[in-house]
Amino acid sequence: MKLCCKVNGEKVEREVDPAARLLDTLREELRLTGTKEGCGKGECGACTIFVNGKPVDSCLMLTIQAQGAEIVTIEGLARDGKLDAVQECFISEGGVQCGFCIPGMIMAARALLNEHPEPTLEQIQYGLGGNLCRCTGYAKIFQAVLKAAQLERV
Amino acid sequence: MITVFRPETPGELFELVKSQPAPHYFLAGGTDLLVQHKDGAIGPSTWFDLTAISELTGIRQEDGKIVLGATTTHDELVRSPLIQRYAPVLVQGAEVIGGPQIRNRGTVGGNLANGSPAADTAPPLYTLEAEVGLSNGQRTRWLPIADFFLHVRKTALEPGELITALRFPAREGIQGGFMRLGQRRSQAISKVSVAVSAVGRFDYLAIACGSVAPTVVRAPQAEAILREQGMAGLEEACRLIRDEVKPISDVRSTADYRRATTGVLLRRVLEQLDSGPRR
Repeated sequence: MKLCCKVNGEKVEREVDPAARLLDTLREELRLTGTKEGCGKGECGACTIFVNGKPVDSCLMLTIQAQGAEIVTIEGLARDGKLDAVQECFISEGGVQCGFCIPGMIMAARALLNEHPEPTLEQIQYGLGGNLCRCTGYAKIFQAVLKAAQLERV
Repeated sequence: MITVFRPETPGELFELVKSQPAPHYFLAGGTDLLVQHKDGAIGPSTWFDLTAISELTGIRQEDGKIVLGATTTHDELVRSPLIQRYAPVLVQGAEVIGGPQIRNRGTVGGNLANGSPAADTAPPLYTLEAEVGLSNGQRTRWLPIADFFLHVRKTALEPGELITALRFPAREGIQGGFMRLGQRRSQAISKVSVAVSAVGRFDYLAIACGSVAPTVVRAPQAEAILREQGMAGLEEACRLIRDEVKPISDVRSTADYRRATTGVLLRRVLEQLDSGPRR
């Protein structure tokens, strides 16, 4: 099929396998390898992207389902070479260890802050409920999201 | 090898179903189907993506009923003013499913089509006395939800038939509560769940329990004592409900634990309901 959609603000038109997972099309065809595959079953959230503004697991979508959609991946968060506040704060607060879960974690955190600019800790935990991290123990991740919220308020 | 189609109208869908080789799978959010596929449980087959068919989605009020399209997502349920007003129990069921990513894709029709007694939208829909709309392109029929679920992973769906919609009466002043126990708050499959919908104390009352029998079950004895005695019947209802459920021991929990906690959850749900609106 010919996939026509928008990825990170740019129009994409390309012959792809409609039955491939969107995750595989992003990584293998579009070479956007920032999106990771952890479990491949919607448990870990490492493959989180935005589809029409909402965070979803790209391992659970077929490519055909992205027809006409607006997609944002981790590569699309930085603007004009400047990192998103969430990315900055994951770095400054030490929210990253091995880093594998981080693209998905940051996409989920971005979605949370878009909806709740001043989140409580409980809202952060609920908003990141679909993402697993096996290194950090989450404390510094939550701290990074709180910090990003503060930064964006000023 | 999977062949997938993305029809945009019900007519186009049923034409494809007629002309394409079986086995057929209907794909909506993919939050169960793609997991089964990853597990190798699905062989060569034809898939029909339902998410481009606008007739299958959306929430509306019609002739005193709330009607939801089968591909309405859990997130859409949680955010809908109509569902918040007429099905608060369903908001509470939908908002604990998976995590945000799953709720943005998973659909209410897909949650039911699997026939799992642990589906978290099912007990809420039992308490609303919902009906399930099924169509094979020629015939549409509405089944009470209790007749839709036959056994674990067995539903009344016939070959070529799909869930198109759900509907239930719009009851003014309805209150609802849903609580479940799982391994953790997010991404967990319920070990036991209890849903209650009520108007007054109790002009209308329905109690349903998930993960404690081959299908979701109502609790007629607990309902009867509460209808008769109001909240004064709470202790008795929580005692009775333990014998109304028929749990088994499995990978997620034990029969004894499920029986005991069904009573505990019923108490918590009713006490929460009685302490006023949650939001």
